[in-house]
Amino acid sequence: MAVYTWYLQGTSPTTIEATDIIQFAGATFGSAITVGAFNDSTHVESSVGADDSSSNGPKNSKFISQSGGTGGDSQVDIGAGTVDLDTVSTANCPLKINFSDAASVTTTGHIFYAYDGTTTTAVPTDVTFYAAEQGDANWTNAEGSAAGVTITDDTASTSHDYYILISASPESVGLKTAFKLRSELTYS
Amino acid sequence: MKANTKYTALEILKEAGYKNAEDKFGKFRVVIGGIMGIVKPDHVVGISEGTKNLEITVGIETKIIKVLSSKNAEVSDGARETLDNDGRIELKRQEKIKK
Repeated sequence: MAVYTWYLQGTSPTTIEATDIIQFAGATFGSAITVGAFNDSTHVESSVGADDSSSNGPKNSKFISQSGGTGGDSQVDIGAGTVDLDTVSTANCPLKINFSDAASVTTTGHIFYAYDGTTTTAVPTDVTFYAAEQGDANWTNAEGSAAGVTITDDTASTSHDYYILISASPESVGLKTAFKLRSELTYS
Repeated sequence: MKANTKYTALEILKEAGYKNAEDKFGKFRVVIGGIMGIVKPDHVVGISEGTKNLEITVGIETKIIKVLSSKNAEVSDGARETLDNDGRIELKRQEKIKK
């Protein structure tokens, strides 16, 4: 049986359970992000509102620019200043998704995106969302399934790891809940 | 070639020793490490971590190449070019949306 496991990476990884929330925040857990600004921290919030990643030093990737880096590369801040997006190592990507299967399978047609939580083609409500696979030169404005980040096809294996950078910005005041992340792939 | 690394399909076919590798795409069935339906030379393929041998089929001919292990995720020069091009396409898409 195929199994998906999502992690928020850090000094130690935090497993993101099905009922957990990936919280984009200001400097600390639960703090607001100014409208138009991007996340200064990322956390795993449990279904009862607890900070599950508090002791794991969770990674964060903050959108800085779409093409202001070397040769038109996007830029990101992973906590130590602005760098080109394609220089970020797998260990510094906030999101790690593992896909495993008892059989050795390839993964193809893999996309990753945010949506409104109801309709996969719909953009998240009042949130600007960017994502990139580790090694990508530019952020993808990955809102709705049609705009998803293309994740590289992977050769046959029983276990596949995908490392993804994510960043979000509120377009209005208030908590944003019509906002979910989704990964879709074909395995064979 | 190294595991945990992204390459273009063209780079992989060349490494496997196929002559005129660029002419194979779209004319012969190309399968790399089980990934079927490869019709473009710039198709980026990630060689899964832990892979030791990579099977490549072009038409009815199958070759196997050795793959070195690598702890660090890497991107080949060819795959880098494709990813850069993809980035430029995404920039244009975003500019169109803004207009």
